[in-house]
Amino acid sequence: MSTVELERRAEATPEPHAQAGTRNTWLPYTDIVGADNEALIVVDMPGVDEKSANVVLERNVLTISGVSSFPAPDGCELVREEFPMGEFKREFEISAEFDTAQIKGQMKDGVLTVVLPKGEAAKPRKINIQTA
Amino acid sequence: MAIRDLVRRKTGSTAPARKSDWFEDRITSLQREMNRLFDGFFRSWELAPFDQFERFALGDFAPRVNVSETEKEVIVSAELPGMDEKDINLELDENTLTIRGEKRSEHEEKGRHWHRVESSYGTFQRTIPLPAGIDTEKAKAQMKKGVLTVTLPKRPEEVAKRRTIEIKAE
Repeated sequence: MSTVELERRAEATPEPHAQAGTRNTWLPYTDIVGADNEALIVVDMPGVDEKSANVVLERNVLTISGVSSFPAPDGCELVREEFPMGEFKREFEISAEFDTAQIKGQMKDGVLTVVLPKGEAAKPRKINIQTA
Repeated sequence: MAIRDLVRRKTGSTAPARKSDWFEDRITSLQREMNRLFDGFFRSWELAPFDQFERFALGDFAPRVNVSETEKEVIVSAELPGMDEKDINLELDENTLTIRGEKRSEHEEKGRHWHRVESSYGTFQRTIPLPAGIDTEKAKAQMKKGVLTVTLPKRPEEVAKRRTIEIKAE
């Protein structure tokens, strides 16, 4: 079943700390949930302000990017740092079954949820059987 | 090796987009596995004295933490995206702070199916060792944008104990 999937470049399971290879951005953990009428891309970005996160759709590619920072309070010395820092980016190819004009994003408790409604043609529908 | 490292979650074609991607993925997962083996080896012999922040495997996962310190307080931040403060339990004693709880998915309704799961769900626990002299009565915690911040003030007598030692030149 073709759904949102098909990530470009971000193929490996994200390991935000081990910045794999030459990549200088980290990959936020992402869940993809499907339903009859829509699909959700749920991206964990704790501590990220909605103003520093971007969701951009260009043709059929949805790019989620932003910058995470952890400003230590004044005079604080960071003794242990595990949060991934800096720029993050993930790209998803959106298949034609979704109505890209209706994509919506919402940020809550450090989680970005992008809702992709299916186009009318892709929704399951019941076909009436006519009696002759 | 974790199955998810090996399985390419891609519907349709199973061929990698580019050969270098394929190679890079394998190298990355091999490296990760080697790190895990080394960690496990040293840990089992208690030869890892440098990492006293060991992630206790008592829950399904352990959240990532940042720890910062000033003269007056210790601040522990933990990544808990999508969580409600009601589902988080904090325990504090003289030497450790334990963060535990359970993260449930909001999307476990009927008729929904998962295509990809990378977030961790289930019970979690993390125990963070603390320096001596924390005033446990005055600790505060706050949840904001999926980050839990616990502020642990040091006892005044502990703060007073700290002094700068002058270095005299001959």
